[in-house]
Amino acid sequence: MTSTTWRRWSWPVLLAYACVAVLLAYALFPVLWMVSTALKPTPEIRTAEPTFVPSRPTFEHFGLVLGQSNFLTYVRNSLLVATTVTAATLVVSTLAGYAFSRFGRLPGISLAGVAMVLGQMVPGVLLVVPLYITMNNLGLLDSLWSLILTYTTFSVPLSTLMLKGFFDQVPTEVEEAAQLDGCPPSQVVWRIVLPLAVPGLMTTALYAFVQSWNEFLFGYTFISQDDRRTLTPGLADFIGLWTVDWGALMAAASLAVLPVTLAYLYLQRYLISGIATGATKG
Amino acid sequence: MGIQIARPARAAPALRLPRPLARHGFVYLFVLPSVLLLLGFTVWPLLRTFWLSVQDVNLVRPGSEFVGLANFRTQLADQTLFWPAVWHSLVWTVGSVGGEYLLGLGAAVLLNQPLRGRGLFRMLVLIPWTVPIVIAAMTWRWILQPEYGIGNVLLVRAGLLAEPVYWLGDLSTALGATIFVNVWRSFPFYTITLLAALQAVPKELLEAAAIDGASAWERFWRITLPHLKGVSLALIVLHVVWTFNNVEFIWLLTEGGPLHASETLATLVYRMAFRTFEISEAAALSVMMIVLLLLVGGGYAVLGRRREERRTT
Amino acid sequence: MDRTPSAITDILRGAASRRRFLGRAGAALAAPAVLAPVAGRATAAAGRGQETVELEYWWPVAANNADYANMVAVLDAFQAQNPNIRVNAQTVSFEQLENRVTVAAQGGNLPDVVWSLPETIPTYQRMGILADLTEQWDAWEEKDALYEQTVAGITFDDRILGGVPHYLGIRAYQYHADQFAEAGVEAPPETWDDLVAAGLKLKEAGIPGFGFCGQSVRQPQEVIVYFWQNDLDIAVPTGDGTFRNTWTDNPEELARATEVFQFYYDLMHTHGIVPREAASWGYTELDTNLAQATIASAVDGPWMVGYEDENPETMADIAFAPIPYKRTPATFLEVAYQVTFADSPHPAEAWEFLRFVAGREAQAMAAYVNRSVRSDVEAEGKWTTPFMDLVPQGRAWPQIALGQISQHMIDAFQGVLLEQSTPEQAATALSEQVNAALEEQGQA
Repeated sequence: MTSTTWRRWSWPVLLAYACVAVLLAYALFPVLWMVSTALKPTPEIRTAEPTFVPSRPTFEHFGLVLGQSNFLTYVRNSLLVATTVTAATLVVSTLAGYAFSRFGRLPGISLAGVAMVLGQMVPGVLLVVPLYITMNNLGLLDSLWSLILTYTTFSVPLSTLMLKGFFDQVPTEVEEAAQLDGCPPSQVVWRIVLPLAVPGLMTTALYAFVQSWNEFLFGYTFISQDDRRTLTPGLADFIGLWTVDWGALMAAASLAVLPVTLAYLYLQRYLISGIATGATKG
Repeated sequence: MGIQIARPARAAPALRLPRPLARHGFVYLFVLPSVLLLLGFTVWPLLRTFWLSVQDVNLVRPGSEFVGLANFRTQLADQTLFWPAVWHSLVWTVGSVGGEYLLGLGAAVLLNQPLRGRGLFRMLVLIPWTVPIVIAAMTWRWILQPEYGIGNVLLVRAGLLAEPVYWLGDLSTALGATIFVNVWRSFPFYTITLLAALQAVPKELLEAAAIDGASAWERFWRITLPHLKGVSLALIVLHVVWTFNNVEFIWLLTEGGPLHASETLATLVYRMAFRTFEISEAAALSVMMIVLLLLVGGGYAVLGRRREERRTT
Repeated sequence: MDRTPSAITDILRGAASRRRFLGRAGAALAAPAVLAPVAGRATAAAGRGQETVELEYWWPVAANNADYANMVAVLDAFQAQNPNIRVNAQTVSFEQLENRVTVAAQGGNLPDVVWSLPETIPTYQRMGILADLTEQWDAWEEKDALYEQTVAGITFDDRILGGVPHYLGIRAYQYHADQFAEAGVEAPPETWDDLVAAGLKLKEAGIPGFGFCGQSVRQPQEVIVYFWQNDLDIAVPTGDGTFRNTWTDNPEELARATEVFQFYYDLMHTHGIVPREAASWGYTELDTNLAQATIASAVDGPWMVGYEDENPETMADIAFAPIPYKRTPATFLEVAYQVTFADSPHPAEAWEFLRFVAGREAQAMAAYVNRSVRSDVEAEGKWTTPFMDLVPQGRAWPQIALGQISQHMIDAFQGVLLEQSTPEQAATALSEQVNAALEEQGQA
């Protein structure tokens, strides 16, 4: 299925575009509904005969979200948390992932891997109270650090295993040579392995970022002060006792999705470039 | 599962340099930070869960005492909630992870083709995963609503449905509908991860195989897929664990209803811990969930090892 | 390894907040040291001679809510009279309040005052976290102005525990007058039988006549009313703080309980007045369908006024009546309380705040005047009078921890509506389950 076998607009190409269309319809339908709702004037939002396209588009809900709510404060806090978690996760997982990939047979290392998966098995619901108590003892409640520590812990296992998978794909010959030349292990990882695993690193980073960006349960449990609140718990501002401000909620959600998608658009060059392929010799 | 992790994939044999252990000290240093985080933030909750599971703590009743395995026995004897929830958990987990992986892989392969505008397509496909779960659930609940949901309206208008269906409110469709929504939300992550992994599949191999006359399907099956094995395993193993433990989506979509038709073990735990305050029963249920996961994982690891042994002999 | 930490510390020190994108956010974002833990939330001595006490207060009011300004005005009035007390109000949404309080209680970190819904009070009482306010209460001159049903919710064995009521949400029968006229129904139904008769006429005109919640937290609040109307309760006090469901003790009571289930079943299946989907409706679905006139009537609360913006045309003909009854008229009083806890380091200041909010001055302010808990505060209006008129028949939850019991209520009715059990089976099972739950909670 390489490009050379395809002629322009031959039937497989058309089929591929058709598949893409179906895929995008599935993926984007609710999102478009979200954006369309955000753009509708209030009397048009919840009707018995819904229409997809707003008849009189308005930005009033976006104005409300940006002007009369704490939305921007929440965005700032979420950005701080998510970027810190991403950086910490990358460092911790790269080291561990490399160790698992290359030295998985050393005594104790495999045990750590098992522990990592085990640690994921406690249902999040049951972690809330003990972690709340821990954070209280550490004096970290109402501090973004409580979220940073928690989210990093949650994203490290998958990131580590994923990076191990990516490192497994990187051939070992170059490293062996470097190691025989007396290059220290940290340098081997930094100079040789990491550049070859850039797509994996970027995926991991994106994962850690989105997980912390969207997390809800711990975000609302650990933080009570409005000026420290993160985005997803903050969205609850638009949900009343028995009523929901749908227009504002959907406007806020549309805005919340933007940074991540734009970041991905930018990161794609690292994700898709053929860095890894050049060095690989089957 | 853990055993799988310990064994490097065959694509990249571990460095087997005959060296004294002392020279590998750095390896332990590399693993240390992640182990510390785990110890600090998941081991004590785990131990606390085990301890609570043999007490009879109920927040709305003062005092508690050691009751041994009574909580486990109560659950195992419960035919109305527990056993159906076990079954729903399995369907929910297998259905979600299976659907996510197949759709994620399909989308990754599709978006790896040299299509015009694929950069944009890749970004658009990612979006469902970036929508906060609360919002995604509320939006889907609205779309799937029978009286005023756009999904039903469009399906009826297009003639695909004779009359609106209450997807999330009907005994027979509720669990399927939550799986459908969960797949929608999670598959993009599989797609971008597998897309990244596809970049490392050696093009030379594929081209050589093409010259040798291997069909596209054969090339995918023999060359591409084996290269994705490590990443796929990590994705699947951890998503199985998470999906099995996931509460938010089901809770926000159906609260486990109607009449517990979409109740999983995880939503039961949530109900007990936060609604009915039966803390010890929730803990006992969690311990059983962990055991169930370990059984599945252990079984899988044993099977995997046997197959490998058969191959090598 | 040595690079990244410094980058992280930079961000954490606030370097990120100087970036262009964030700069646009303006003053709201300039708060320094967002990552630092809150230093000693208990007291904040401002050093102005007098010590200022800070009350940590959780309320569900957010800056974008319609009544935010009115609510803040109440806080401001309190501050003006009590310059030594600073109320640090933090928004916690309704859905999260109970969770937050129970988690904070387990972590030993409760705030001083929390805005609370009625069904949470017995739970908090059972958890043993409520402050005993009996002395202050007895000394309070204005206490007799409060409706007695609102005080019942905080009275445990003649002691006042937890807090004071501060507003009422009352349920009434709401119907679309135009649809009723169209179907030839002249007056709103007064009894269950009238409701069925009206529903059948509406059905002939092609309009589903009525709706209710099959699940969600609203469901138990709806069905409890019909039990009350049939001279039953979900649990009755048996002295010493214990309760019991007595239906199965007495065939006559069981028959009346069965009637309630039968009523629900008949509305949906025998008469086809209520859409079948209602078996799985939550409160959002019920309210939206009433607002869109997909159903001609429902039992609902004054918050429906919020739907006038969303559905101005279909909400124009909304009218009100007491809830149709069987033996005794009754409605559900949703009493919101301001609650303080035994652990609060500032009991005196917390009481000051509670007393102020339930006092005549605050209750006459815009935030409360339409839904006051005091008989000496009156207001009129389309969305006020029909509801406040029902206070005399209003009732509140019995003082039992409701977590398990409300789930059993949902299950029992859903079982009947989805035709998985008969009304009599459901009534018997519910009675037994309620007693088992009371036993487990130590309230039997």
